[in-house]
Amino acid sequence: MSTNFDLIVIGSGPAGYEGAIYASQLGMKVALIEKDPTLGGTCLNVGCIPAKSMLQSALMLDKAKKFASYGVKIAGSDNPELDFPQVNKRRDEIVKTMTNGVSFLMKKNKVEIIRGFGSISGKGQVDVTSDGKKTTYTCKNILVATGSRARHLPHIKVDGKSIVTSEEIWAWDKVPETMAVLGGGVIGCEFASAYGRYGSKVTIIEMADQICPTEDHETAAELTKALKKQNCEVLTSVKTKSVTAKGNKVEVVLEGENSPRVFEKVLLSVGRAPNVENIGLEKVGIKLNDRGFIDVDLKTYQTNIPGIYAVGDVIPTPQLAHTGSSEALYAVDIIAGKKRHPINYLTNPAAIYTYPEIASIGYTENQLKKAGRNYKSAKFPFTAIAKARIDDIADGFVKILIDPKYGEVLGVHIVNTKASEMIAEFALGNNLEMTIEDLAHTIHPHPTVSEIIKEAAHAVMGHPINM
Amino acid sequence: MATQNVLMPQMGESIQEGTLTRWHKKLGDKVQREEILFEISTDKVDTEIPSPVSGVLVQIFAKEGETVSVNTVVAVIDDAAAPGSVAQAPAEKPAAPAPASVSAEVASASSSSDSSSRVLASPLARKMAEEHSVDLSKVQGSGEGNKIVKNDVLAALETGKSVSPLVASAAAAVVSPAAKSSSEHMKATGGGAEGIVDGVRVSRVPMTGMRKKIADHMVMSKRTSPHVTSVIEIDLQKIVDVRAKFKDKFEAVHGFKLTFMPFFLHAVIEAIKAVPVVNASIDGDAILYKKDINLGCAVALDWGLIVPVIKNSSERSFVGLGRELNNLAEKARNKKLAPEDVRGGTFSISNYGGFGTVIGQPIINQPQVAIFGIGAMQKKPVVINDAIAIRTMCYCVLSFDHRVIDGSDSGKFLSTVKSVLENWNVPVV
Ligand SMILES: Cc1cc2nc3c(=O)[nH]c(=O)nc-3n(C[C@H](O)[C@H](O)[C@H](O)COP(=O)(O)OP(=O)(O)OC[C@H]3O[C@@H](n4cnc5c(N)ncnc54)[C@H](O)[C@@H]3O)c2cc1C
Repeated sequence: MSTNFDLIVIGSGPAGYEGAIYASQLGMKVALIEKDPTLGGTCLNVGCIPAKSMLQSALMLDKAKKFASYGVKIAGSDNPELDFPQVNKRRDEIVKTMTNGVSFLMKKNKVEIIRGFGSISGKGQVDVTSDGKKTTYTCKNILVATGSRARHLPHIKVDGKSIVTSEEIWAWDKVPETMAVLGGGVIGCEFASAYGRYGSKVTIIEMADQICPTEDHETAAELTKALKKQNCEVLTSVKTKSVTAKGNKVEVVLEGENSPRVFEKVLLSVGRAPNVENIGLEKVGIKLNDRGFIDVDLKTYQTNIPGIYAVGDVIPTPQLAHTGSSEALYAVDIIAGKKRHPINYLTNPAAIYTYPEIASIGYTENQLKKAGRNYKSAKFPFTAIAKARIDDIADGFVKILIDPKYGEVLGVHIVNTKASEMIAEFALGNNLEMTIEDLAHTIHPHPTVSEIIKEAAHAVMGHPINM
Repeated sequence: MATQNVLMPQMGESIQEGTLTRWHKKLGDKVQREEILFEISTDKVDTEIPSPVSGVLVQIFAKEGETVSVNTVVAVIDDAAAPGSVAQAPAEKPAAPAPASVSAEVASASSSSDSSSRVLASPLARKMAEEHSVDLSKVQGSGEGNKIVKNDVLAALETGKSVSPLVASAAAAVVSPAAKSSSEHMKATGGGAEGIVDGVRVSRVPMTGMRKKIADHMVMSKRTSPHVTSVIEIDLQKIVDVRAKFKDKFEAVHGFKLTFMPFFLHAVIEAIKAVPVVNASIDGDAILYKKDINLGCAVALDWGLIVPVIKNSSERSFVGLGRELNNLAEKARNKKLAPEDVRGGTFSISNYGGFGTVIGQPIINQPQVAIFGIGAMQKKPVVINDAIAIRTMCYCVLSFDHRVIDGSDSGKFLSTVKSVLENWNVPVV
């Protein structure tokens, strides 16, 4: 059997499935190949969605503890407790609904789903192996969206039980009393923030001199403070020497310390490796960069082989769901012969869903300093915003960095429970090349938490109003 | 096929972008490694860029006159392609025809000079255009839906093509009411480069990219650092005598002329060692003391000013300093400076004395914190031991950033220079 498609997409993560839908909507005959039983990739199955569900439960627990202070009395609610099996059940239901939703969208958009492991066997040719059977499909274009997996370290053996990555952790049926999080990046901090609030004693061990090393130093410092209040010990500039499972415990030896620290569980969270193995890249001669990601031309997302494109976590751009899906829609436009203005990655927002959240866009202050750029910076605290106090989310600040010459917004860093929602305003603004005046002169509704954006804009222009 | 991207090089650390002024090769041309591929202009330097590899120029992303950020891909060279073959580049810069509705809008806008607001442009692009009197209706947009974005205005500023004299004088009218009628007059006289502004006959010539960048850099520096300039008078008679005595031998042995500059370079290095804060920069609330002394020496050119840098100056001998300065000046005049040659300066020297200027107040080359200036050498009657003698004298100055350097530091610096020059004891040949 060999059906000729206009486009074959390998991988059904947010990059792959959104690209497939869009291509079909543009009139292409599209196939989507997925090796796992459910669609949706890392994001829907073991990434963004379950993680955010788990964090929401932690937030609800925090809120429940405060009901009395809001003037709400619920019988027997003086001492709210976490029902961990229910946390997992709710999460699984959400994941199931969303992954089924992707299957439904595929049908609705007439994308053919092919189950099995896809690999490129030539130009315009993809083999799919399922239950040991191989079928070859031909097509005009291939979109590689095979995503990424949790990175392992050679000296640490992940056993899937007491030593896990973000892929196995979902199987935990109880909250461990103690856990170590190796790697204080985005994913590590999210798990630490959730489990810390569930009641675990968490130790974050980060090699760099701050957690979330790609974030602004001030937001990282603020998050560190917050995590400490959530049962988390934060160690930075510390390397792990060895991790050994011993019975029900795990011994972790840190560099500079001889006696091991003992934890019930360990989460290894040291970044994500691109899925580039066994998918036929070498057969057609697709080039990887020196870090093992697929090299693409960022003006087309085409690899060095014409007709073969790659997007999402397999290419060396930010490993975020929304980044991958934007790249996929872009690549499909190029395949359809449309002209596109290159994606400006400085308008690509990032968010961390800890408590409080961190969201950012553009440059950090240290990056600007290092580049010797002229900039102005201002920080406006949420404590000055009435609605933030009403909602009891007055933690954090908005920090804006601008180029004083024309008022171009170079970077924004928000620490607050609503940060991920608020950063979208800057994503739009930066995409339209707004100036700081545009932001300050935009009327924001009162009272809202997002009023702070206007306030911070006034602050960076030198005249904060409500402070 | 093996392709190699050609990047806009980094020419000096504070430089974010450069203007591609001329392509020496066309699409499809064969090019040899090290052969000149294009010329660029930045605020520090105009230079020719050699090709990184041999092959065929298969893609060009930056047009002549376009300003692009450092490390942007400006072209692609294929080392296996046959000459004349050109890659299909689906996403080449949209020189493509605009959608009908937009081009109609642009066309109607260009018919009147004050209609920039009807052109599709980003707020940032609009603001930049307003400040620099760029007529947006004459700018080609490269953004989504052919919107004019920041880079398009920067490119227009570079070429100067879209800077409309009419719009410019209309802007001036806001400041001076009298100017309104003169802009009318200018329209009457043809609106070209010749005109009358405020009753004065003028000819308007757009600044070159280099001049504009020098201007920006100077204004930025004056805004950044509170400048103070101290002056000292130095007796150069001993130096004049030493040079006269050795100059023929020096040229015979070393193959280049012995000028006064190496004497000053040596004295300045000694003074920097005595007062290290002049060889520093400010980083937030900290002072970065530079361990290397990299002296930038301003070289005047017919078409502007360049500041090549003598790396590791303090580790060079007297002859080594002279030779490196000679090399760099030569390269600057031949537009052969490499990115490395203008990068990493930690302290600068300006020698305006060559034109007879006695005292100057040079502007600090950011992010440095001080600059040394050398005035003209003059024979003067001076009092030595209560007797009048004729000596060769010179005023030297230090402009310094008063945020980190105090008058006492500058005094110590200048007196060290003076003492080294007046008591010269370094062998020169
Ligand atoms: C715990 C966690 C939390 C996260 N939270 C966020 C967040 O809040 N926001 C955010 O933006 N991002 C988040 N991410 C990152 C986000 O999940 C990824 O950036 C995103 O999923 C990448 O999408 P993708 O389509 O490139 O690849 P993936 O989602 O990894 O999908 C790739 C798919 O391809 C399939 N596949 C691979 N190889 C083959 C093959 N040969 N044949 C067939 N199928 C194949 C895989 O089974 C998978 O389904 C998180 C990640 C993790 C792990």
